[in-house]
Amino acid sequence: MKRQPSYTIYAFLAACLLSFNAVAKPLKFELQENTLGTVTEKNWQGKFLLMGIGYTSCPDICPTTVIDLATAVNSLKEDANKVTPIFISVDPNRDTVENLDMYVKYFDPKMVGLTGTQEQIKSIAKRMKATYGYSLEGKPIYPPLPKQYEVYHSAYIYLYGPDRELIDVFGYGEGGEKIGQSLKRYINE
Amino acid sequence: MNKWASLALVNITLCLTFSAAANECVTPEGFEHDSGAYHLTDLKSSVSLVNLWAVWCPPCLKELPALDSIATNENFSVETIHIGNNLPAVEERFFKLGIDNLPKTIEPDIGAIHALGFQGLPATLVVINGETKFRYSGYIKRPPEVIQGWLTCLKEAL
Repeated sequence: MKRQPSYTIYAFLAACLLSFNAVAKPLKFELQENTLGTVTEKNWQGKFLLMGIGYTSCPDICPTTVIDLATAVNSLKEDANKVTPIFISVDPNRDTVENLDMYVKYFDPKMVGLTGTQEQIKSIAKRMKATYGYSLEGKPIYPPLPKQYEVYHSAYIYLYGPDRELIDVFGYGEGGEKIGQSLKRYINE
Repeated sequence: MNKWASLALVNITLCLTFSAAANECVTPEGFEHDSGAYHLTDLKSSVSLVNLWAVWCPPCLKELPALDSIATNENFSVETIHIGNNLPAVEERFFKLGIDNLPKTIEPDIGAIHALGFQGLPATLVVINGETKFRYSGYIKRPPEVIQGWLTCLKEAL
């Protein structure tokens, strides 16, 4: 008689897999910043990181991700220096570190703009469980990119602790004030 | 019929008359009906196109010359409000784009976008007698002449 593997074993393996996936990996990246050059998760030691992804050349409507990052951090007032707001461009083809720096500084002098090679961006997006891609006339396309293309991406805002563990994820449209209230709670814990 | 009832009847009749006349103005594609009091800035005309924009927003910059081209029409006013306190950057953009007729009004509170129920920029409202009547999210795709004709029609319907 052929032996059937026990369902208990399957259940155990599934539970292991689920618990493994449920624990997000700590933040790890290598990207470029305009004045700092190459930066990693080890920069901004002792600070919380409030991070969003996007790109600067929005065609018809520009989202408020960077506004939300700035509003949330500035709502902390005297504690604002405990959190570094970071905007990562997933469109390095068009967003140079210089342009990105100028863009983020329109919102707040504390704002950090980061981008990198396609590989570096792919790596951090995977780590954050963020999604992004490029399309042309409704069809997905992949680098090397043509002159005209569109960018699509997920729009969550992520809060990482000084130990670079993920603390919370905020949905798009939640608004900077509300995110700021959560930040206050986390930094005072 | 007492005096108050007569006044109410006249008011209702006037409202219905405006509403019927305004309905004859064809709403350009993308503008949605809205209602609510407008308080963000003082407006110069009974019919106003209020445009929220920012120097970091490429579609806003693309839209400004079109708005500028209809800003001298005496039937309505075009009110541009920059979100974020950065007058030097506003002046630089206006100069580069050759904008002559739009106001450089600043709204320092960047939360104003969400407060007005928008999720991004550019964002446009049509305000009639202090009431927001229409809204548009994003870059206005219809040509400025169409918007001008519509706003003129709304003014004539008052």
